[in-house]
Amino acid sequence: MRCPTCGAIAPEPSRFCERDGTRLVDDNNEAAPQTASNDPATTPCACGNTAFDPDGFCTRCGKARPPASRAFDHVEQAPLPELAGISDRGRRHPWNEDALSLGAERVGEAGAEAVHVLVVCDGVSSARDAQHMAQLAAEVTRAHLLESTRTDLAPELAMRQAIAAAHAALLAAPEAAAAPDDAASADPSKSQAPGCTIVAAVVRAGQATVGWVGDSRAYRLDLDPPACQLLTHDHSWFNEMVDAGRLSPEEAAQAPERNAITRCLGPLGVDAPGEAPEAGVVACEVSPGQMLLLCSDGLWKYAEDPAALGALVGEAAAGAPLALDISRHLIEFANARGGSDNITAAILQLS
Amino acid sequence: MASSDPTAPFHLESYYTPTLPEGGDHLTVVTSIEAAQAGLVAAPQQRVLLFIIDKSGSMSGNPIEAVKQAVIQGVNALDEQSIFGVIAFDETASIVVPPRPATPGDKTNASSALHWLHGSGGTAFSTGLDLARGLLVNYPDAIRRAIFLTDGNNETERPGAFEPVLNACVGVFECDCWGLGTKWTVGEVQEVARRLNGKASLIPGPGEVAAAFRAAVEKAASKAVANVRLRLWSPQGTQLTLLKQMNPTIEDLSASGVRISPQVVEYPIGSWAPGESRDYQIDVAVPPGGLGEEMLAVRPSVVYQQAGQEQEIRSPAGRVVITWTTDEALSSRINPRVAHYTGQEELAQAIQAGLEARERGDDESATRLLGKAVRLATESDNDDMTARLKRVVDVEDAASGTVRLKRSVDKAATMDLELESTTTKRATRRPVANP
Repeated sequence: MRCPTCGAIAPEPSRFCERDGTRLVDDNNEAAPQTASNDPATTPCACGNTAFDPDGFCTRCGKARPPASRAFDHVEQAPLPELAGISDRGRRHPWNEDALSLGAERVGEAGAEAVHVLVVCDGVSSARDAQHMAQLAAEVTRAHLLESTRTDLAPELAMRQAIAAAHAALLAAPEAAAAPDDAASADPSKSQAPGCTIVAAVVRAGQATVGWVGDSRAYRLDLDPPACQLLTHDHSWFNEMVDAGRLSPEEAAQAPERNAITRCLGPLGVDAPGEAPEAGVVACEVSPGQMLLLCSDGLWKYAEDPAALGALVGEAAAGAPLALDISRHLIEFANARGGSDNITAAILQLS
Repeated sequence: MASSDPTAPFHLESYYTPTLPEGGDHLTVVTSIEAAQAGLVAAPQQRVLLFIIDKSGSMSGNPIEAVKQAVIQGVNALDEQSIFGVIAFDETASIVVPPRPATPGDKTNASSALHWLHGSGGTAFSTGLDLARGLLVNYPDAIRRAIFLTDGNNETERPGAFEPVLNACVGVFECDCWGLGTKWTVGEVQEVARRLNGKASLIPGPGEVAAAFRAAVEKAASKAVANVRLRLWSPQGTQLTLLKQMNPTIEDLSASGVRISPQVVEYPIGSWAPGESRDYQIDVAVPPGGLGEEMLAVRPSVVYQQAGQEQEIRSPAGRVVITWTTDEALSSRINPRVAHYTGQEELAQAIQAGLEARERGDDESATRLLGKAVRLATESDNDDMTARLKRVVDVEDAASGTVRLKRSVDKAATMDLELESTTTKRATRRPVANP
């Protein structure tokens, strides 16, 4: 299909144009095909009723019309044997607000060099549009990162620009402009605005460049012997307090807001218009045999200690399975522990 | 019709905390309804106003003379399209002035008819009410009100006669009730007012009857639409556990709900004047939803007949939409308007309990409770209530509720306080103090 705005050709199925983030529709003006119907008119309410009032609430159980995306309840992507990821709704949340986007290209002379791109986003806030925002951010970031590898742009700069583009796309999305019309709520509209975290990695010629905003994480793992290094540093209230020396780790760990994120993409993540969240960016070497893992907090909350996560991945990687199998193992682990949040894990095996 | 624009006949707005904690299964909502100042109804409706006057022996002399004058003055204030009548009762009731339009000629005739009214006999409320009902059923499409006045207890009532008559009057007319002097029982008169969507008030003496009736006639004449209902839609699995009017007075309407379909209940809320506003509290029990799920828990609307057609008015701001969250900071918030009325109810209860304690001689409890009432009234800037309380107690420190019972208290002051205990101060948009 072609993007109606810029004309770029998009692989099917795609919700968004990779180049400018435009929402895609097919020639018949229906939503892009998904693995399940996401046409609101045919998707019934969870209670089975198919009638909704003009405001979008089920006439029987009162629940808001499901955002058109049961399709994302369980998403598996495996562009290559060494590059794969899974995003799963988990056991508790009504829909999956995590997003996953993976890409690979061959660049350089005669396409001799492989480039891998991984992006994981975690939609924030109870706004229904969080899912759309996360999907949009992930795909725009992937598109920009792939594009940048065709240029000479320095990897760190490219990462910052890609994340900035994702943030800009969220601000420009129609959902971001619509403030909820609820005079009854005492909450400022800010807490209803959508936003998402992001963690992205570009790997090329043994160099990994990782960027992030929020508390989605990237790890570098060794399998033999098992070792796991956290590459990112959560933008969380806990870290902010401890890094500034205002609280000790023990004190900060007691506070109920310890897990609150202090930065994210989208309207929710900025205090004033025109501001953009500053991304964390880090670069490191990755050698054959090592693995990159990008994940949302729905996974790492069940294995906060990198060593525990390393052991888990080691267990999953036993017998040299595909990246997709390893991802599955991680998702099952999180769901077995309760699956209280959406779970996303993306794996790149360096060879 | 769904509208939040100023031209809508009614505007609804709901106040509540939209974020429930995980597993949360109940919430309290305050829904405010306001009738438009202009354009409430397309065409003016006919009004019928009856005076129901106690003519028992105790009314003989000054009282009945003052009432006659007050009725004449009240009737003179009516416009020619209104229909009025006068009923007098003792152990039985009779028509003094049959219903007729308030034309100058008819007003004069009424005056003459009233001249012959004098006080004698006992008191049976049901006779006057029943006769009024019998007359008013003939005007089914009109705004029907009565002004009821007594000066004593319902002592000559036939056993078992009162309840059925009162039940039969519900929905036929609304009635404001006045007790003259202090020899009547607050509970008896309030019962009539409550059931018939009116207010019970005290008139200290014959000299104040005219002013009271003038106010009552003005109120009756201001009503523009009758038989208004509050309709509440809620989803399956949800229960409305309470509906109470909170302002202008506290009235529990829960028992008057009529289920008109599996998910819809209607409550009669009487007649409305342009610009009138009232606040209602709705308690809802909901099935807990998933984290982040949104649910329409209650959709209130206002329903009434106009030109033979049912009108249903909704406002987007009236919808009650809730969600569930693990964020304790959000889920523990209390909406200021809800908190305000919770406080006003506490105030009403403190006054009632305090007066009861005083009645049975328990001065210690009375002092404590009426002191608490003074504190609550002060905190909510309810100056009217503070003034009333000060006729019964001497206030040493309002902020802490330190008071002393007055040694001698005017009976009218305690009766008035009891009658007005359920009158609440309206919640303002910006509360002065944080609850």
